[in-house]
Amino acid sequence: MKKMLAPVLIALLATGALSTAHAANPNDAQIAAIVVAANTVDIDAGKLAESKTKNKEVRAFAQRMVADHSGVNKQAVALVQKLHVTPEENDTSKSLTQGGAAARDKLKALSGSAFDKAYVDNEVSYHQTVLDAIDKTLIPSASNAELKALLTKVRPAIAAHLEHAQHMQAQMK
Amino acid sequence: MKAAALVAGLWLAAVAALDAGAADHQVIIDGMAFTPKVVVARPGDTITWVNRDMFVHNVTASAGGIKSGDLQPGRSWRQVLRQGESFDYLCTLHPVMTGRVEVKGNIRPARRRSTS
Repeated sequence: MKKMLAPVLIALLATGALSTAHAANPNDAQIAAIVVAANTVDIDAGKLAESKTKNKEVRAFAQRMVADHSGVNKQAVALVQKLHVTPEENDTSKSLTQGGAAARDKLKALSGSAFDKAYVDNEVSYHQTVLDAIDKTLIPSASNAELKALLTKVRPAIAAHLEHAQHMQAQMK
Repeated sequence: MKAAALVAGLWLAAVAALDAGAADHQVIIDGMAFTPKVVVARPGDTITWVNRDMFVHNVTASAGGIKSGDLQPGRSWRQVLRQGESFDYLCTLHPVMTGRVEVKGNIRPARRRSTS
């Protein structure tokens, strides 16, 4: 039962954190903080997966998540520096960070195929939620054109990661 | 006068087409996609994949030695097509990114020096 519950909890944590962003109307400084927090959560989850999994495909996926989301964060930081915007922590960015840490704690308790499945389930939920937040909140709320362009440029990557994670999820059933 | 210029222009265009030799095709890698997704080319043509995305990608096929290695943002990779070398390819880093090269027909006529 515990094994069944863990991925569900992780998914709920990830979903809950970002769903609050749908109701809010964040400004550019808050969006910057949300973007950095969201990427950092997946980088940390990816690093954990790299250290724990023995599954070749899961490891390759985790490495890609670390690389791609690090790339997005690098671009986001460069942009906010260029725009002289200081990322402003907010309820969404804070709950993302907290939710990410809680999800990692749950994952740390698992091993083998239970870990792989929970990690991949979490990645599906996470990327679906991020995609929804990009479409419904972040892109519509961004006022600076370059920030909006960066979010628009990142969107296909989130969609591709989601599709990749869903493919792995289907194979694990 | 205008008609003469038009005829001359058409003639030059026709000569240029005949003398084109192998063609160059470009596939843009951006937004986690290969565009165009399908390239129809002839043997001897060259395809250049240009990575305009913000992520590292590669061009890999199981057949024909198609293996670009990692293409950092801004980098490109060229491949000259051989006879009968149609292939499906993907980015192994992002397997949802796929494309196809259809190699049809024979090698284009060799480039000739225009005498006009």
